[in-house]
Amino acid sequence: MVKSATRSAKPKVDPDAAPQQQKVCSIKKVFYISEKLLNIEGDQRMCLERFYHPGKGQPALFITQDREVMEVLEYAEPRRSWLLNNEVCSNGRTYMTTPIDPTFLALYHLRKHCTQRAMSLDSISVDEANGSTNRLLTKFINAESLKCVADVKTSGELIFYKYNKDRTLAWLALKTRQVVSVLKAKQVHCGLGAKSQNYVRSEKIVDENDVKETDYMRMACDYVGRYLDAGLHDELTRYLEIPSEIQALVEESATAKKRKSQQGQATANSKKIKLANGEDVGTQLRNSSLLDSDDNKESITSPPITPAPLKERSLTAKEKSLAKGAKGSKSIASFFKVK
Amino acid sequence: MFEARLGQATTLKKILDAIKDLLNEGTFDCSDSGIQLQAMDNSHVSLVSLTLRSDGFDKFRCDRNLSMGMNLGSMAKILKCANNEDNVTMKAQDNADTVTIMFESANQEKVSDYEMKLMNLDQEHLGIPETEYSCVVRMPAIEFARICRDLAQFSESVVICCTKEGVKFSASGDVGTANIKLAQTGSVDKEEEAVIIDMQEPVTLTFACRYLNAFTKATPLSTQVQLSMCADVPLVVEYAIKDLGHIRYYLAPKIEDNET
Repeated sequence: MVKSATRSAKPKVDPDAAPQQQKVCSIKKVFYISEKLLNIEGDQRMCLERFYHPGKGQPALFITQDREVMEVLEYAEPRRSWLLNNEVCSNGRTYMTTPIDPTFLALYHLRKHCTQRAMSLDSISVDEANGSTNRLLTKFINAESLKCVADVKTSGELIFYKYNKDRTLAWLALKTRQVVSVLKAKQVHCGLGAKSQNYVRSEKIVDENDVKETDYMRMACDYVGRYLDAGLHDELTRYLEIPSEIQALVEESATAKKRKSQQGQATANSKKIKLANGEDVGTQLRNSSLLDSDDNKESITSPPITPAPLKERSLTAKEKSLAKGAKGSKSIASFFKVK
Repeated sequence: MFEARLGQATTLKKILDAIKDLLNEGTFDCSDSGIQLQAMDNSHVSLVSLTLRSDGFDKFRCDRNLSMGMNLGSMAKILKCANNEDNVTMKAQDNADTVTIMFESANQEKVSDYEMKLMNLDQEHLGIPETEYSCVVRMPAIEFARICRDLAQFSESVVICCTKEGVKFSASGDVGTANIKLAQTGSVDKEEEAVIIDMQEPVTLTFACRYLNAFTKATPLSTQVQLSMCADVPLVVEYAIKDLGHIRYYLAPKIEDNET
């Protein structure tokens, strides 16, 4: 996604705003719109629509165009305004479009209507009072992707869907693992507590150990859970066997109190358990026929073995005297630059 | 596969003794041209640069470039287990997390090997620019060690002043002042005892005495030491390791506030 200039993006969202701009300033909004939406040729117009957002539990804004659905995210801060050309725009919010898999939106409706019986998408939308659901299910949902979350039955031209819990959880687990790999690649801190992004760690402290695989899983699961209703989120958490944060904290303090010899055993055991889990989920995924390529399997491997942390040693008298002698000297790094 | 073999363990012992006081750990970068180590001390005031050329070893093989992070204290402990005349061989696999150090007595009657865990050190390599130094002093290493030891009793810092008359080391403190002047030797009969001064411009610089003393731990490696100085640039103290390479210490000058 590429950020486009605010002014070029604005009139497309609200083309009628131009004549009124002298009077009503607040109708102007600042949008960051994906280039993908802007570059479509032809007279396809972007539309702002409201669909039910399962994570929020209420309808939310989406931008649609042709068959593309993008979520509209809003960044609001109190007492913030925009200065556009010579005008002050009192609506200081920033809106951004982010791609979303519409299957998440359909999943809610499938869970609601199709747990007991198979239904066609048309008949689901009949049951819903809201007209937008009809548009969502018939226009934007890719029938192929629904196979990941439902059993599909065809009878003549009609296609019926029945919600399948096992497939859904396997699919969500796959999504979670993808998020985990992205979190790792972007080096997002997922451990307990907050950590400054530009904090430079000391050479002596090897802190890889404080962020565990489960921390990444928990964070990723929360990300995915934002697009699920609460019930399904809980099911996913249980399915991935992610302990709650409080539970993890209690366990950690318990291991800290243990003797060193016991601690070693405990970590060895927990590694075994994790491995077993990894395989468990992996085989389930493979059985559920969701994995079409082999490259996904790599993400379901056991956690990497992290080196044992170095012991923090106190300085010897010799080192202290050297450090004392260093006072008043310039740093050598100020003469020699890093290659 | 990496394998390097030296005829005399004592050389390696001396090298480790020369760096282990300044550095707790360091990365040995091995390539087919030899072994290099570059690291700053904890206070980031000095820099140690060690170069051992591959042709100086009895046997040297390095299939792939390899960086071995080592705890130098542990390495020194292992080398203490060697007799001075033993052959010493360092071995490591590609991507290994341990290094094997093997000692063999001259008649092969005793062979001992030690395996040491390697460390992952994220040390940055510093680029050292080519510098034309205003003064280059060559002098006996023992003499330099003696001067540093003597002056350390008077002050934390030593002023090195190099003019065409010679080089002057001075220190002043609560006890009093100390000045040691060395003039260039007139006749060069024995090269290892000569003081040779190559001066373009006179230089006066102040350095931390404790660091100079730490550098003199390399004295057993070489009969001569070379001091290169230039205004507002780190001092270079270089000890040549015969037939093998050299060890260079860079020391940042002290910030002078009482100088005019």
